[in-house]
Formats: sequence, C-alpha cells, structure tokens
Amino acid sequence: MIWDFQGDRPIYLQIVEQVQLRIVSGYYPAGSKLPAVRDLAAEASVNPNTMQKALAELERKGLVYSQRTAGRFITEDKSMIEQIKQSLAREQVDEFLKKMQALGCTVGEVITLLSQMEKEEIK
Amino acid sequence: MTPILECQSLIKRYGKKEALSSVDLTVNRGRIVGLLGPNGSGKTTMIKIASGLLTATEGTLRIDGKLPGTETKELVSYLPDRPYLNDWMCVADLLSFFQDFYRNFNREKAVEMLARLNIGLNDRLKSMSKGTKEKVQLILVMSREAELYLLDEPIGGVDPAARDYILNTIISNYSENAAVLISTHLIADVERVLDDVIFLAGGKVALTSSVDQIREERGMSVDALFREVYKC
Amino acid sequence: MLRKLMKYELKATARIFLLLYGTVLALGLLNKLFFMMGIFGGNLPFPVELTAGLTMMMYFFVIGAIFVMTLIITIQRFYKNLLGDEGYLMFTLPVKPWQHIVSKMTVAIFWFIVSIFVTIFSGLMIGISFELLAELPDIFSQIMGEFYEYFSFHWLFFFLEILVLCLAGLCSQILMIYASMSAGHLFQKHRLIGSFASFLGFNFVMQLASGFFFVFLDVIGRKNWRLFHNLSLFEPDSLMPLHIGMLILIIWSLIICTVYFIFTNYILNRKLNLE
Repeated sequence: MIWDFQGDRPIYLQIVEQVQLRIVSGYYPAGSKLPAVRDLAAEASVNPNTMQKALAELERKGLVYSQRTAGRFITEDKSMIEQIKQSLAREQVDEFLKKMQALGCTVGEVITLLSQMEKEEIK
Repeated sequence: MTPILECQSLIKRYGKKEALSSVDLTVNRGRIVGLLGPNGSGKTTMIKIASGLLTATEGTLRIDGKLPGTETKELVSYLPDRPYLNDWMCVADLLSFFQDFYRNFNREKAVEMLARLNIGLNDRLKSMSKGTKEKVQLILVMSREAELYLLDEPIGGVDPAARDYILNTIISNYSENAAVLISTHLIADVERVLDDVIFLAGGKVALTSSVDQIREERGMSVDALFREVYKC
Repeated sequence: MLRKLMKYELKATARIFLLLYGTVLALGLLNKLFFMMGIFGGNLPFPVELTAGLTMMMYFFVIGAIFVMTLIITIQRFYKNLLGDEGYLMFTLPVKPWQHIVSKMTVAIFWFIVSIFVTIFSGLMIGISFELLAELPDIFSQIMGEFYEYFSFHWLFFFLEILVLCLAGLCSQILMIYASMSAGHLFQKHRLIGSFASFLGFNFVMQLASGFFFVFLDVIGRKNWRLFHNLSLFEPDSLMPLHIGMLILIIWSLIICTVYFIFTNYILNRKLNLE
C-alpha cells in the first residue's frame, strides 16, 4: 500500500485514515505489531513528530495500543475493527449516493443498476 | 529548556541594503523547521549568521543561549548552498578531516550511508558528478550528532530521486534533542517533512506557524499559502 | 586543534612543493651529468650542448618558479581556503580564527625555508663532486668552528640575530599579505582589487611608520648621548652597538607582526563576511 497525502488537510489526519484503512483491509492484521515510529515515518516520508501524533490519535480511538517496551500493536478487538469497517463503508456509500443523486438517479434506480451489474459479472 | 536557536531584533546590512530587518524567531529542539521564502528574502543570510560565517550588524542570535563562536560551531552542522569541500581530497580524507575536527562526528554512520550509495572511500571528489558531491556533503553533515542542523537549499537543483534520498536522510536522522532548519523555496517537496514553517519576506518574518495549523485553519497546503503570500 | 590544522595545511600544499623540489633536484642531477661529460670542453656534438644549455636554463627557471610559487601559494591558501568557498568549511570548524592564521603562516614559512635548503643543496650538487658532498656536514662544522675561534662569541651571536631578524621579517611580510586580503574582503565588490589596494596602503603606512620610528630613535639617541656614553657600552672594539641595533630591528619587526596579526584576527573574528 502506498501512502498518499492531499494538500488541504493536516497530514496526521490523513495518516490516521490510511492506517485505519490498512487495519480494516487486513494489511495490518488484528493484534499484529506496528513498525516503529521512525520506520513508519521514513516509509511514508513524513516528519516523525507527525507520525507520532497520528499514532497517538489512533491510540485515543482504541484502534492501536502500546506496550511500554514492546512497541505498538493493532487492537485485537475484531468487533471494533468490523465497526470501523462499517462506518468507512457507510461513508463511501454516502458519497457515492450523493454523486448518483447529482446525476438524477434515485436510490431505487441505483439498487436496480447494482443488481443488474452483479448479474452481468456472474455471467 | 533554552531554545536551540533564538534571534532577537536581528539586523544585517550589506552597505545600505538591509538583508535582514529586525528578525525575531525561536526554534526549539526536536523540530524540523522550514525557512521559506523567495530568493533574496534573507534565508541564506540568516543561516550564515547562525553558522558563524557572517556577523550580525545589530541584534543578537543565540544558539543554545550562546553567541556564535567556537563553542556553537561544535553544536551546529551546516550544509552550505554550494560545494565547499577541498577537491584534492578523497572520501576517506574527508572522513578523517571531519573526525579530526568534530567530536560528534559518527564515522560508522557516514561509512554506512556512503556504502548504501556505492560511493567508494577512495573516490576522489574531483572525479565525482555534481549530484554525487552534493550527496557526500549531505552525508558528512548529517553524520554529525549535532544539536542544530542548518541546511541551506538542500534540494535546490537536484533530481526527484536525489530529493527523496535527501528528505529520507533528514527523516531517518531525526533526534528529539536536535532541531533541523531547512531553507528552501521548493515548498511542495519538503512540506510533509516539516513541523513548523517560518516565512521570510524582504528580510522580515512574514509568518510563523505549524504545518498542521495552516492546513487545519486555512484548509490549504503550505505550498498553496506560500503562493498566496508571495503572489507577484 | 592547531596541530591538526597544520597537518591538513601541509597535506594540502605538499603535493605541489614536492613536485617542484623533485623537478629541481632532477634537473640539478642532469646538469651535474652534463658537467661530468665535460660540456665546457667544446668537443661535444651541438645537440648535446644545446640540451645541456636548455637543461641549465630550465634549472634556473624552476628555482625561480619555486619561490614564486611559495608566494602564490601563501596568498592562495589564505584567499581561497579561508575567504573563498572553502572558508565555508574552515570557518564552521570549532577552531579559533587565530589558529587558522598561525597554522597557515607556520606552514608557509616552513615551505619557504625548505625551498631555500633545496635550492642550496641542488646548487651544491651541481658545483661540487659527490665525494665532497658527502663530506659537507664535516666541512660546515669546521667552518663554523674556525669562524667562532676567529670572531669570538659575538659574531656567532650576530649571525643568530640575523637569522631571527630574517624570520621576523618573513613573518611580517606574510602577515601583511594576510592583513591586506582580510581588509580587501571587507569590500562589497571588487575584493581582489580591494586586497591589492590595501596592500599598497599598508606598505605606504609601514614605510611612514618605520621612518618616524627610526627618526624618533635617532633623536632619543642624540639627546641621551651622554647617558649611553657613560654606561660605557661603547668601549672601543665593543660590538655592543651592533647588537643593540639588531635588537631594535628585531623588536620593530615583531611590533609590525603583532599589529598585522591583531588586525587580521579582529577581522576574521568580528567582521567575517563570506559571500
């Protein structure tokens, strides 16, 4: 996975989002150890202080926990990960629906379109 | 804790021309700070005073509470905007030179970084390309365990791969005890490496802020803000 | 730190001097060979004579070059290594400016003295036979011994005084060059011209000061003539006046050195403006 940052928002917030995505997608499995701040910072080419801030934010959210000497780990709470997955998916769908609305499609039409596409894909 | 760099109404004149007019600023340890501004805004002058190559006309600049001198030169690691190494030396000579004069020079670190770039210890500076020379300079400067790194235009005129190398070197050498001051006008490239920014304009401080603060409050990147502030 | 600075200064300058010394000694040896062939006998073929003549010319040319280079390198090491781009490295070393001045000056003097010895040696090599060359140290000590017996302690002392005076004079010349370049570097533009103008200026002021100094001494001497006379320093045959004269010259040179040194050090310390 590649780190990618936009210019209009604080970088640490974007790191938080991208780490969440990595956890949800299983790139960082539940309970696994995170690389050290310095290495993560180097990997993402960002300032170590920024990376630190992002990880602190993730800790606050409970997605990551730190053990004093061993380092930082991804939460083992699978239901929490699932919950975040749901909310992320919801955000994406929300946005998608907004765009469809702008095209003049109702939710019903979108659902019809989706099931039609699903059938075509199965063939 | 004493700030690692502090200027109080710092003024530098060249003849009648004022290169710095009453600059006040503070840089704390553990921060990577961008000294940003167009050419001629006083960035280089500022850095040269801190490294002891220029003397201030009025006001004071202190490094760890001390005026620039032999003591502060031990704390400051300075990368100039031009080649400054004796070109009769080979890489091994340079390593010994730095080791001889700087107590905080970490030779192993330098050797390791050079090896990663396939620069041989017997390579002569004279036979190197401009880009390689610049990397050797950067490696020597970053291999000192200094408390203040002053990097003057480290990414000016280098290719994107070299630029990434330089920025990653700065990141991987980060220390909580040291501050890094990077002067540049290529902001988009360094932005995500920086904690704080200082905008200089016409020898004055136009703005100091953290990068996050700019993005949060204005919803724009430092680069975008820079273009707005310095619009011609 | 001073020792380390000198080490690098020597290293930086050694290549060019060793090359020149090697050349001069090789040319000396070649000349020697031509002499041994009897080049002045007039019975050798013309091309050989021509080569011999050219070798001789080359020899003198390279000797001239050595001394010109000593001067040029003295200037260039200060101007380029301290006041040029390399100064960015030198002046960010945790080293005091006076250590830069002393290290550069010491190494310049060192090369000057070695150049003199190499020149003398190469000349002797041509002029005398190899056997004589081997005996040279003995001959020298013999001469000194007889010199001493003949002229007594005073002359040896006088010889020493001349050496010290030469050294002090050399120092003052080098420091004047350093001071001129430091003054020149204060200019915003045209620093080279500024350095040259400063050199002329310093020269003029120094002539004037020397003039005043010696006129002043003369006046003092005349006024207190009786006092000196009564001190009975001036016995007939006494070499005391000579020693006093030398001493005054040495002190004057040292004063000049001090003035230039302090001036150069002040500028490098307080007025440094590397651009």
